[in-house]
Amino acid sequence: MPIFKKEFLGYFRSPVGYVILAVFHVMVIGLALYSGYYSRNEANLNSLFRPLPWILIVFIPAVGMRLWAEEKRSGSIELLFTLPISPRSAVVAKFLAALAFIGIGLCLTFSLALTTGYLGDPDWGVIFAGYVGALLTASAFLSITAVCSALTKNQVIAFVISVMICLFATLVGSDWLAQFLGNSAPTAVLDFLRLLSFEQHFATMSKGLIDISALSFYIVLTLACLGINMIVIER
Amino acid sequence: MTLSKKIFAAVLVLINFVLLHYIVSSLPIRFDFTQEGIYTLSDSTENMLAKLEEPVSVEFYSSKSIADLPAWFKNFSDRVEQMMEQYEKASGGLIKLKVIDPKPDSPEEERAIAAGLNGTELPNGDRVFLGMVVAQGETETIHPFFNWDRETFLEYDISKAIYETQLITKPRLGLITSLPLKAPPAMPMMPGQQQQQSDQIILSQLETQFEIVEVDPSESALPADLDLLALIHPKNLSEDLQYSIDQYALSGKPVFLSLDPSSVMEREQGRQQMMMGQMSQPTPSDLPELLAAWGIEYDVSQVLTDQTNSLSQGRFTQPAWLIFRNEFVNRDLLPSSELDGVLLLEAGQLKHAADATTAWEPILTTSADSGQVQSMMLQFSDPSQIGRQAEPLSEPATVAGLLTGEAQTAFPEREDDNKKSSGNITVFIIADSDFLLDQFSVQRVNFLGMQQVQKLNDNQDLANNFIEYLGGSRDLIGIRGKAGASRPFDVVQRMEAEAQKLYQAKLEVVEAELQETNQKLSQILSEQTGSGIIYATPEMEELIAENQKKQAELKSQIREIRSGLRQGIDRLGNTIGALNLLWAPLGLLAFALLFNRMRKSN
Repeated sequence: MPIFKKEFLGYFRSPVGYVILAVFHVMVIGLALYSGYYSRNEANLNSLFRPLPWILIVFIPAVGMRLWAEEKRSGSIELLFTLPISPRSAVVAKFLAALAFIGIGLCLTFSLALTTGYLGDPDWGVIFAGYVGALLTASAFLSITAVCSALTKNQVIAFVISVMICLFATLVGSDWLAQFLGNSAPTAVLDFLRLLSFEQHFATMSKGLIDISALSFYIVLTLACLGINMIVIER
Repeated sequence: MTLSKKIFAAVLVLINFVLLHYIVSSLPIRFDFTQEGIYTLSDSTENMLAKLEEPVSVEFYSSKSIADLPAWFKNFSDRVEQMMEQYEKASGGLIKLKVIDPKPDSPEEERAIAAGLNGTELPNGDRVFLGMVVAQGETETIHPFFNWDRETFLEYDISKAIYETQLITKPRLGLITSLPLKAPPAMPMMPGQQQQQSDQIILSQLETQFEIVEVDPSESALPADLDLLALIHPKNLSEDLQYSIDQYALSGKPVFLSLDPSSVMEREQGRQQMMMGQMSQPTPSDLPELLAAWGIEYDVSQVLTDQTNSLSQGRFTQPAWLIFRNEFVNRDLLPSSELDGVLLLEAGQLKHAADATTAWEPILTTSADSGQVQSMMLQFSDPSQIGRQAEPLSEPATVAGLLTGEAQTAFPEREDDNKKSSGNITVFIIADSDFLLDQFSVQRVNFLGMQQVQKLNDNQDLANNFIEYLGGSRDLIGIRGKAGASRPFDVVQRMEAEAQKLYQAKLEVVEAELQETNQKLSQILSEQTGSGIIYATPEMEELIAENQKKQAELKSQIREIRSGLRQGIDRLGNTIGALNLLWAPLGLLAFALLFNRMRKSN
């Protein structure tokens, strides 16, 4: 709990946290408005959810890049291990603090859902499922970023590697990759990759359907990455 | 922990993740958060499945092994399969599902083609199948291809196929129509000739559930043993046939009646014929004797307008094309309970006579802003003039309704041994026929050479729901109703209607002024003609100049009013955009300042 509090408040002690939140908000809402939220005259958040995973690819590494890299660079990681806290607690506390910060970022975009409620009669169940999908996607990306951050002392390297992995993970199972691999990969491989697709799982959730495949993908992947994170920081 | 051990442990964790996810993914657990429960079997389907007595086999053909297919298509195919698994489970084992992957050049592919599932061909020559064959005993129903555009209707399509398989003999539907619902017969293709037309969707859909018995208007009687009678824009019916309809209705059998005071389609056809030098006049459809006996008043010379519900797209406004949504659709009746967005074109008003013995349940009603205009005016007037020419009605008008209860015969003077003089009738009446036609209700799109149909509004659902309701399949209506509800921005729509009203009022004032100056000029011109003067007097020149100036001014005013029409709506959009974009950065700034001050004070 003390690590969670320290980490969480840490995001608000420097201007960077506010700037990241503001930029994320402007990007998400700006893209939704630009892609015809109002002119489509439909009371749903499709224009917000459609580009969201692609924005999270950049936003999440920006939030999570400092999780371990900064501790390693400043040497405070040594101090952390002298405290009576297990590596597991440290990993989970830091992860949850960053996730709470990201949660605030997602909550900021809820103004568009309220606007939709004012303008029309949206399906709140679909909006809820979309936000659950967004939070699960964010947590999976964050756990990947945490591993990258634990592997290096340099935040920028952690950011770049995380963005690349998240981008690759999003492209896996996408239509683009399926068409690219179309003739060279067996169908079974493509079907398997589809099971690991961020894009496809999120698309289903943003339509209001949460199936066990999507839940297991996000939750198991997040837990696996947190496990690897623990292994990496283990002495 | 050494580096090699760490790498080994990390790889193990990743393998565990993949295996665990692979296993968990195969579990049939899902949570449907949609308001209408579109991913869950509805009560209606479960009712229908509970009535199954004999086992039903469902062969689902899904081309899983074709690599080139886009991921979204495969996801859709998975979704269809999952939905069918739900049917299998809910039927208590009476539905036997068999999933078949018709690989290219395999016996399964041959079976699929032989069953009537042609699939669609990819550029590399492979065929994609996504259809099913439902069989019970010797009855077989084929759903050739699941259209992903109808994803929300997936349950309806599957249930309908299963329902149709249960029908050992299809009910007989008598059809009397003057509309070309059936495509003209195929002619040998000539170079440059248009593609062969298809039947209207409404007819194709009815054919899947009913045995259609076409009845010529000149016939003297309806065929025997009809289960349902559909009269769609009926014209020139012989008196004997009308008597036969009267007796049919009094016998308690249901009637679907679509009359039309002004057929847009016939007018368009008429214009084309006139261009080819032939004369053609559209004529309204009416059944005055029958309607009078049933207690319905209907004026074929009048067409309704409605400022609140008229179709408006950008600058195009057609006051006599009405969209029925929300409170303008009867939500109490099952077939119309979920309809949202029915488009009627130049519809008439249906009134229930004060002395009628029947009961009348309105289904589509206009707003209090409605009016009536002579149907003849629609042939010549510009849409912008129609609204002004309309005589306001003091109350909302009904354009569709359900008539039930006791009625008297329309032919009391006829003598017939078997004649029924009275009886309980069930008649659905709607005062428009254009709404049923493809051009105003659906659009056909082409995907990989296969034609798909996308709906533009709920028109086809309105017709199908009521025909099914009258024909007896209540379960299917419940399924169809839960999907496809559009959710427009109500606030914007209200603003559009208000702006339109304001625009119309201002326009009327300006145009009245314009007309006044024109009249003044015409008066002087006619005086001059009478006096024999053939040149313009200085007074006239002054008046013409003044008139031209005024006309220019008034036209500019009209332009301003026109541009101001959407201003409020655009302003709301801009305000919403600005508020949504800026509130968070400004709020965060305020929070940062506050948080910083708190930290310093601590």
